[in-house]
Amino acid sequence: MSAWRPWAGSALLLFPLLIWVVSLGAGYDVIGDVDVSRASVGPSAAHWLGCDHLGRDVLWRLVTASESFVGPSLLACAVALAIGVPAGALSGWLGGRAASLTRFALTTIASLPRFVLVLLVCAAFGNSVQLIALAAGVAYAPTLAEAIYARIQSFRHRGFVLAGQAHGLRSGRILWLHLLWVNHRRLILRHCIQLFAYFLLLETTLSYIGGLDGAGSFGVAQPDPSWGNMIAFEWREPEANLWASLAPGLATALVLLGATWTGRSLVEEQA
Amino acid sequence: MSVHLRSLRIQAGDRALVSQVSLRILPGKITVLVGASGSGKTLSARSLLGLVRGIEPGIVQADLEIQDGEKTHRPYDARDREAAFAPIRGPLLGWLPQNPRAALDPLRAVGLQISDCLKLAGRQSDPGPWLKRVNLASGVGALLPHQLSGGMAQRIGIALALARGSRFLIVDEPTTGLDPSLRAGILQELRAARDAGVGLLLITHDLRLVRKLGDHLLVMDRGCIVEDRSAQDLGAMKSPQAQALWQATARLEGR
Amino acid sequence: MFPTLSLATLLTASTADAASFRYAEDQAPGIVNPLFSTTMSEARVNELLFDGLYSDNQELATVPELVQSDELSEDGMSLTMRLRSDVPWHDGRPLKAEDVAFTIQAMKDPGTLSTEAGRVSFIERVETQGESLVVLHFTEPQARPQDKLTFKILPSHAFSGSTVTRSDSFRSRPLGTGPYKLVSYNDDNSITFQANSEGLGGQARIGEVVMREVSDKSYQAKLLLYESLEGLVRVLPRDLAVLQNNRKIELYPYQTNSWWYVGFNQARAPFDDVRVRQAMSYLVDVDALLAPVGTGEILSGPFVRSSPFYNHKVNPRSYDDARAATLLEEAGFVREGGMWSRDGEPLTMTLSAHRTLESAQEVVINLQSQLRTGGVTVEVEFLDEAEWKARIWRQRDFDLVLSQWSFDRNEDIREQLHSEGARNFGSYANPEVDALLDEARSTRDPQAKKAALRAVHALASQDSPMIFLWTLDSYSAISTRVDDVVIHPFYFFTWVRQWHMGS
Repeated sequence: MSAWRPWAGSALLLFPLLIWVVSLGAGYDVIGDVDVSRASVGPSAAHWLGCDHLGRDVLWRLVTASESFVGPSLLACAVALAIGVPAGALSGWLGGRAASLTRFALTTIASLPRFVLVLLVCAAFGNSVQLIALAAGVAYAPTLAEAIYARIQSFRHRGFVLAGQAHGLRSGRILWLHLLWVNHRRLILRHCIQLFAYFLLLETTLSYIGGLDGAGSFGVAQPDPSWGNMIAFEWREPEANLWASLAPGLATALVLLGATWTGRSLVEEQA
Repeated sequence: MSVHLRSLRIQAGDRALVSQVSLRILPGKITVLVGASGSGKTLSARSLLGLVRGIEPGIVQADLEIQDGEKTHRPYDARDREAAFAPIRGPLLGWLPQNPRAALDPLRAVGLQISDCLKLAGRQSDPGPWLKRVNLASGVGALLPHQLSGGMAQRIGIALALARGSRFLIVDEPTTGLDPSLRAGILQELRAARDAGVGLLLITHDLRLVRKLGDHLLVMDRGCIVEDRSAQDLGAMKSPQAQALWQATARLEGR
Repeated sequence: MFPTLSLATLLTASTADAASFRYAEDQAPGIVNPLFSTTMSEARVNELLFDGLYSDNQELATVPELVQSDELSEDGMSLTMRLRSDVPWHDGRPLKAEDVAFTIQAMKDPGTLSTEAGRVSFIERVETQGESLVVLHFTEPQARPQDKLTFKILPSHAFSGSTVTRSDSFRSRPLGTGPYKLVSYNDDNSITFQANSEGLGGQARIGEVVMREVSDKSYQAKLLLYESLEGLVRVLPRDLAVLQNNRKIELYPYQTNSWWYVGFNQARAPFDDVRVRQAMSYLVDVDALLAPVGTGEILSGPFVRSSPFYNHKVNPRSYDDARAATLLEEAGFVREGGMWSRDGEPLTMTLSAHRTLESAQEVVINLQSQLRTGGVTVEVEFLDEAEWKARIWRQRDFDLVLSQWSFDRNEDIREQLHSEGARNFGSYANPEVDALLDEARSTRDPQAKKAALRAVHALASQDSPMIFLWTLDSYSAISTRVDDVVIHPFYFFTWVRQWHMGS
């Protein structure tokens, strides 16, 4: 793999975080932004990516859309970490019946396709992006737990673990510091990036589908921007500003590419 | 101040892996435990630290008595053995495992690992002096275990044990796989430790070490102690196993 | 969700039959029985299959259809009609006076639960004299009862008893006197109709009509362009430009009797305060709201502009944030940080829109943006049919609704604006309006009715029970292969008999 890819990947991954910060700081009013006199105008100095068919600035919508997935995907990661890491680590470390039960519970969740699980949660509890994030986090936790379980179990009886115990290190410190933080933080980071990318794709897909029927029954609904509903909102307009649907599509593709490159470089460094 | 193990028995199912093993470690003395591979040396040594897999009463039975000044620890008599071993591991008993590289956290700089031990011992966390003490440059502290040579790894192991400040040290096959010049260096370190008052239990299958630095000799075979005597009268060994070992050593030396 | 797939299926199914007129509906008719019709697609199919006693001519004046001649009694209390003898049912049986009596009785029968019952409430009883004479007796004097007798007539021999239910087998084998017979319901939800050789004025000139269900509206125009359809009932505004420039397609503008509005729930604070409702209407720029949806006429009251009842002296409100601010301040609101609030409560409301309302998304987003700029926070929810019925109609649980009303030629707005009206879910109540509506219903003088309804228009504009928005310009698009096309603004197929396929 070329040496530039990890760098390019990280840069692409940092891009949504950056625009998230910009968006939170700027607080641009994307809801009160309608101005039909500039409907579907192309890029200009005032509107770098032009406007959509209601005359809303595309660049600001693109930037503000980061709020609909960056925060929630961090929430999804937090949920997956909060469930997956302790479950995987403790069942790998302790073994025995408790571990079997934990793993059985997680395998049960994992046996449902993630997308179906998320849709079920939406159907049962209503459609909010935080809820989708929560569901995605829960749905992803078994994958993370299983990966950690396998590694901890194989590390459990390594010499340095015994040596650490002989030195009087407490089990907790060996498990959390040496096994998880020192030896597996890259693995965990890779899974977080994977979940981040998965959530972006999920949110974009749901918001796109929701945007198609115009009523936003899935994902993020207009007028709140999402890269998915931006595409859905524009693509049937006969004389649309091309950038209004192209830009969010490109942004999604680039961030996903960044996640792939970064994730792969983490695997290769570990191997 | 002593470690005294009596009538150790380790079972796997119906089979006894180790039975009727007794040994003593004394400050400033080196007890050597010799035996062929699979004779139960390492298992016996680990039982001193309570690190035999599954230390439930059904598997390990022992009368272990560790005297620490006025205090006497009898961890195998305690209901919660894991808790009872906690004050023993580290401050009283240290362990230098057979493959020192495997005993190091593979992704943590060795200097940091020495610092970890120093912190555990409540000492200044600068690893520099301890590296110097085992004749390593201070730059070695920044290396990861896989960047160390075998000899360096062994020295780091010793540095860790010394840094931890254990009163007694179990040293498992310290010279295996090292060339003679390195071996001499390691033995030098062990001697220095003994001279500093540390009690050592040296596990090896190499009887020559006994002659070089042993105070007391134990020979194990198939889970039992077959020979227990002072290092001065090695010639008086009676058991066939001890004699076979002795002959093997003599052949090596007579090359 | 799989547009290309459905498009491909439809394209392969299209072998152009010169004698066939194929048109698209978003949704196939739920039931083919004029007693229970609620949707426009059902109304259009009914127009193909059935005839009424009276119908509209192309100037939208009432003319006899199944009636040969009639005579209104001097006191206006009864109407005697002689039926035509030359119009048999599709099964060959003759049309009889008892069919008319049966139809009216079935509509009135409480067991039938007909959606059309209100249309015959002015008829007290029906009397038949022989095979072809029908006498209607009214509850009160009538000036032009013929205008209300345009409902479709059903064959009495296809039913037993005067109670008709939705599940009657008639729905699958409808029988009428209309210009077309129903031949088959097809697997792809399409319905095939065949010209009735013995229909009124002879056989219709187009041999076959096919109704096709194309649920994705944006593909209807494409199918028309690919000659997989001959007609579109209503063209989406965004497709107009493409169809306009195509020589094979003719656009037919027509005025619908329907208008859009944003309704207030006046049973709920702060919309019980007329100043708040007026202020809200001053905060809305209706021109800007309409621009992304299409073209149309902006209204100031509850009638379309072409209606005789529209009061042209009342002008639509135009955007005026200063007026709005004055009104809101009078109502006790203060503006802090750009947003209005009263007693610490921000002026926040939920706007409910029907999920199937076309272009509603654009209107809603636009409205949200305008009101936000004006200092009002609007949340939006889209409701499907069941939720709409339950929440808006039954529980009246809403703040604002975005919707449209459609009317037939009578433009009876009593149900919407009378304090006892069945469709007045916004709880509008003005005794003066009630009195005027009652007068408009009972008077026999057309001028008095006009004056009363124009007064209602002025009062409704003043009271602002809703923000009256617009009537959209509607277009049907029909292939140039079809000639002599004239479209009825409401029923579409009323004059289908004269349409024909050119060369």
